[in-house]
Amino acid sequence: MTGSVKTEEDAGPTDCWQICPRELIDWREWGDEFVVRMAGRAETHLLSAAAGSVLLAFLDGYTSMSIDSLFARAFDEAQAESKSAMSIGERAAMQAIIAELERLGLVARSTA
Amino acid sequence: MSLRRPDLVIAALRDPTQLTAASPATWDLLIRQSRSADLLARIASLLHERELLETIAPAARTHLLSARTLAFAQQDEVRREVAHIACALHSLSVPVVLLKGAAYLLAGLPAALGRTFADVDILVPRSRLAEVEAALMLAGWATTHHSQYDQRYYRQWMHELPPLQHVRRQTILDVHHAILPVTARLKPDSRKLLLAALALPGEQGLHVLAPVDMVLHSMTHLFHNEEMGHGLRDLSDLDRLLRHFATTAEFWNALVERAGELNLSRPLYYGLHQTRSLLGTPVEKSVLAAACHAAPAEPLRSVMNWLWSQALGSPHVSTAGPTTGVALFALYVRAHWLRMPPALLLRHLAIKAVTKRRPLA
Amino acid sequence: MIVADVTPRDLRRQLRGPGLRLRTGPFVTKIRSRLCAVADGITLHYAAHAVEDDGGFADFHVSVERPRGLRRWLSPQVEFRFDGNPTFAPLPGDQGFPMLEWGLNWCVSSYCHQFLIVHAAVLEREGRALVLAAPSGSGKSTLCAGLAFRGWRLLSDELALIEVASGQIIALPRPISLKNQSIDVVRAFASQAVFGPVVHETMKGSVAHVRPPFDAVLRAAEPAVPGWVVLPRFAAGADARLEPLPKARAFMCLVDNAFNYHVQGRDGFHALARLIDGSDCYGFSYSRLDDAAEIFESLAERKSDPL
Repeated sequence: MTGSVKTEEDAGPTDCWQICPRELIDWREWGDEFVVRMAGRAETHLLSAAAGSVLLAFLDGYTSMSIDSLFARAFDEAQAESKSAMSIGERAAMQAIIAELERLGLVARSTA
Repeated sequence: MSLRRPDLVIAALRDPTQLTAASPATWDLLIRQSRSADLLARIASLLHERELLETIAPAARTHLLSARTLAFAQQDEVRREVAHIACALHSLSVPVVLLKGAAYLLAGLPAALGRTFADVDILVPRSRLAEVEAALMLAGWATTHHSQYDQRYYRQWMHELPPLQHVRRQTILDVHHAILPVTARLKPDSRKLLLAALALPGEQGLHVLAPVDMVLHSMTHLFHNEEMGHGLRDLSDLDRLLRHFATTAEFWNALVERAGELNLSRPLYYGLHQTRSLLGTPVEKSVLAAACHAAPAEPLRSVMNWLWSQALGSPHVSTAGPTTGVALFALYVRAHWLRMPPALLLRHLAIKAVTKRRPLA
Repeated sequence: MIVADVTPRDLRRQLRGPGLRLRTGPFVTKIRSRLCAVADGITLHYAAHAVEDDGGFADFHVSVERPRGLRRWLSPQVEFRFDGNPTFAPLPGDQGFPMLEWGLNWCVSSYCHQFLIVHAAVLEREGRALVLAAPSGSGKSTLCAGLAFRGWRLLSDELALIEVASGQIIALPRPISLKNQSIDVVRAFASQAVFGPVVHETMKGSVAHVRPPFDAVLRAAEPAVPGWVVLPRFAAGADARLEPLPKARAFMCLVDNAFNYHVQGRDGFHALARLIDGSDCYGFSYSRLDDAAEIFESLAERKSDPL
């Protein structure tokens, strides 16, 4: 089976996201669930373990990140600096999580 | 009949420092009076500004702090609302001028100190009103006042749309196209106000009135209002605007000149006279003399000033005297008289009297 | 001086005249009313509460009277006024005491933002607070009343007052409000409970109040620290069951049941988080108060003896 490992130079337009600018986020984790409050919208939400981990990856990263970087940072600490290959199912799950965080107003696509 | 008590709110606004010596009974009455006037948070903030809150007795201080907490929360909500409004109207490229409290807050003015908020007021050009309304409705605001009469009252005769309420957030937005009703006797030109408006830094498409216009609008709104429940609060806002802006001869001259240009010299006279008289606002004697040219002739002048002095205190039962009710009624009638020509006024009052008796749907 | 020390005549004189200055927890309320039902209700339910001297400071000035107008002669109503202004629509004539109680709750939830206020019953054991958080109709008040007469100190049946700065929960012991079947259930369970008259045909059905235990009133100045957060649910015929509740869900439930969470902003978020940090969180379903009392007894023992 052939496949090419996508490098930075090879990749087509890579979508990146970041924490919404000017948004102040407070969060707490208990067991494997998170609660998060956004000061800008004055909304408080419950997040699943996976969504909370991705949010923390955003907060730790402080820059805009691609889906691959987010996955590595959120779920594979040992390889945080490199990009792990995601399975199709993992990629779909990540996209759904990011879409949810975007819907809640926590993250937004970055123009960088 | 209960004994008439002094207006402690006015005394507190004039000199907050004397509150450090206030007795528990005085605080009891002051908190009640200032709550009725919506000025408790302002008094708390004045004390905080002077680092005097810690000297206040704990029982009273608790209420002061609680009022401040609520005011801060309302201020945050206004900022969010203004951001939503800017977003909804962004694509229209229409100048949106914030009015009153929202303007003081977003412009960082001392008049926002300890202020509470019930709604947001904006001014847009009359020619763009339909587009603005459509864009707001698309973004989730819906009209209130559904009766045909009320809709016509606002759209045809008044200077604003019927108040809009956001379906999800339940917040209220008043969209004005002028600062006085179409039917009113005074007709300040809104285009001049819009032309002179200043863009808010960092806020897309949002403006506030130029300082002289902001002061004149505050005076016009106050001295044309039919309800005086917020009279003292509005007077306090005016006092703080003047203390902030009116520090140079240039400003005073510009204020008097602009009032003449906009046909608002009468409200200017009342505004300067009443803030100076009730709240001790420093107004140059020469400015007052210039403004007096627009004052009504005697004896009406004395009558009007007396009416304002009765009506502009805190609207609490303890400060009401035997003549307060009469004064308020007279000013209510006057406000309607100023809003509409007599035939229209009679019709309006008759319809309102009839619809009031019907049970609410 | 407490209400029980005031002669009935003097009580009526104060209520009809200058106002009775009643202390409840951290608040002093000046109450005026010409209604016998209110005077009787205060005499019964607030017997152990302190009456303050006249001429000082009161946190709230309230009255319960017949509304002005012709209707007062035709079909009497009662109206609650805060500093002279009506706050709710009037209610039919014999609901004066419930009206006072609802009004007093309204005063606190409207004006006391020094607290994060959650719609919950609160009890205390060995300094730790048991917060029973749930919307109306969940059996919270029934459970609260039961536990208040089985070794738990009542802090409040309706309002959990969480001091934002310190995280302590402040006591506001006042009559416990019960509805419909709960009235008979608690009567049967706690023979020592003292009930006021049952008021029928209110918006909530039949309502009666239970006098707070004297001990709870005497110890009103003692706050509590976080202990447990429990979401109760009355389920007819069910065995009593305590199930651990994920803390994040307990947190969200408190957010949903807080009166002034949005007023508190970030401080509110952190105050609730600290409450959850310090509490064991459970869901609880029950149908019999005896079972419930046993379960909470073992819960208390477990806390004091972690092994």
